[in-house]
Amino acid sequence: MSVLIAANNVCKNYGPQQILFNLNLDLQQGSVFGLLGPNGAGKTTFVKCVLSLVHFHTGSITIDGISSKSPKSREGIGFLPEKFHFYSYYTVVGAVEFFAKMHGNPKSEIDGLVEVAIKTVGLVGLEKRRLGTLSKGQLQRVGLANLLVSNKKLLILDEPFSGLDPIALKELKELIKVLNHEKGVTFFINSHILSEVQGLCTDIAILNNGICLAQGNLKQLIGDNSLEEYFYRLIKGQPHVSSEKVIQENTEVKVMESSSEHGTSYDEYKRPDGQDHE
Amino acid sequence: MFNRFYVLLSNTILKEYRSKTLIVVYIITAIMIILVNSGIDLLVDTVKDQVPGLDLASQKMTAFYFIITSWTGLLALLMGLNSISSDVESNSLNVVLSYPIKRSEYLLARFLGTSLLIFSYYLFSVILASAIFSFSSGTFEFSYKMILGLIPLWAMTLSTISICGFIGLFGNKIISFLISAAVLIFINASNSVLEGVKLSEHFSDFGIFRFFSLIFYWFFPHNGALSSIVNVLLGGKETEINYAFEAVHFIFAYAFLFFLISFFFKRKEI
Repeated sequence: MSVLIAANNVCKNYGPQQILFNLNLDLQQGSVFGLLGPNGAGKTTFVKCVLSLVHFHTGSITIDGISSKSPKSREGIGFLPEKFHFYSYYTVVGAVEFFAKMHGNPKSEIDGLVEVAIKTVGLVGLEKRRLGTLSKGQLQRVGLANLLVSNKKLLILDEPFSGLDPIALKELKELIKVLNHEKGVTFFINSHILSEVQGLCTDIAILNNGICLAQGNLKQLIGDNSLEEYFYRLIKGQPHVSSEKVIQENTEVKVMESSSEHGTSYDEYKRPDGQDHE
Repeated sequence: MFNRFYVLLSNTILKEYRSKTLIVVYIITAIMIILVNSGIDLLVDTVKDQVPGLDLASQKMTAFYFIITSWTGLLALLMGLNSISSDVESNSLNVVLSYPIKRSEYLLARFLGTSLLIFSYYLFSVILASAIFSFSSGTFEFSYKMILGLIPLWAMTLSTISICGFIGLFGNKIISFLISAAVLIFINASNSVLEGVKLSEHFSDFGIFRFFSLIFYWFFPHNGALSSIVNVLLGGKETEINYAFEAVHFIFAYAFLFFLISFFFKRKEI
């Protein structure tokens, strides 16, 4: 499997506050990757760095071998923000048409793509409704339609599970599985809803205070633990959990260092600048 | 395959059209033209016997040009302020910039699209006014200069939108409006101060006011001079303007202005 996103020693500050610290991440093509972390861990900032919406200070991010600073790197990416918003006076069909055109689809395919996308995300009957009149969940479905008309090989979803009702949540997970298995689409999912991630992701990375605490194959990382238990103990520094810095290398989970016999405490994972922006 | 720049350009026009603001402005303008026409006709009828030789009817188009050019300037300021900031306020900018487009392309599409909208509004107003004035009192005579006059008007509108669009990114609407208005006034003032002054005399009486006048005169498009050209071509007024210099200056000054705006916008975190 080739690496689709490669982040090397990425550092990002907002003023004096360090958000990402020497972050290294590899996203394998074909995987469903979950970037996990508590609120304020730096997950959304990292996604914004990948999309070049914010600028990181040191390090590098490449997408399919192209620097994230080049607009060409986004040719293969579809993005769903945490709270999807678009011009309120657009109708559902008008917005999805706009997305299909912006993704560079051939003119002859636009109508078909729009129809299928609207049907897939369950917005049939609402095509003529203006976005300003839609509920939060319906608006998020419009955002999903944006991804469906993209035909991209990498889809980045920022907190996709928050704000969805149980039915929409189940449908979204099914959609991710179908696109991943049948079309080989790679997913990068930012989330802190661990229960959803556990049943969906093949690989994870756990971020706290801008530092990557662990990365690798989900099953190999958590072993017999539940993801929630593993996550909690890793973040809180409880004993008996492998809270070592772990990176994935050739699909093997590799232990890089072990801080203590009983794992590493939370305090030891504070950033070198001693700041905690939580 | 759709060209993303073209899609964004169309989106700029559509977002204003669909927001209905421009349609309301069109309707108000049409009402204003009819009122101006009826008002002046009424005035002409009232005073024609009392003040022999007073030709108010021929001044109708000149008065209209003055009103509509000023109104277009204000519209360019307001729509310019909104051109980028509305994307930020509606949280749509992160979606739009996640597509593989350069930020400079995005800016150009927004500025060009907005300027084309205002240009079309101006064209609509002139055609409507010409038709109404011509029909009611036969005071309108078509001239090729009217077409030529649209070029400096579009240039003036584009530079106003670009300046205001950039300023609109920082601060709230009222502060941005006041800063934009101040910058535009400074540009017009610098044009008035230095228009017709020989290059060798640009540094005479050098002081803080002259320093800023020189900066605004050389580094920003000459909106004041462009407005004069519009009045010359549309209204038939005569002033001494070096058209070739103004055209070349506009190209370089706008290129510099756009480069400056793109430079800062590329560094903006969304």
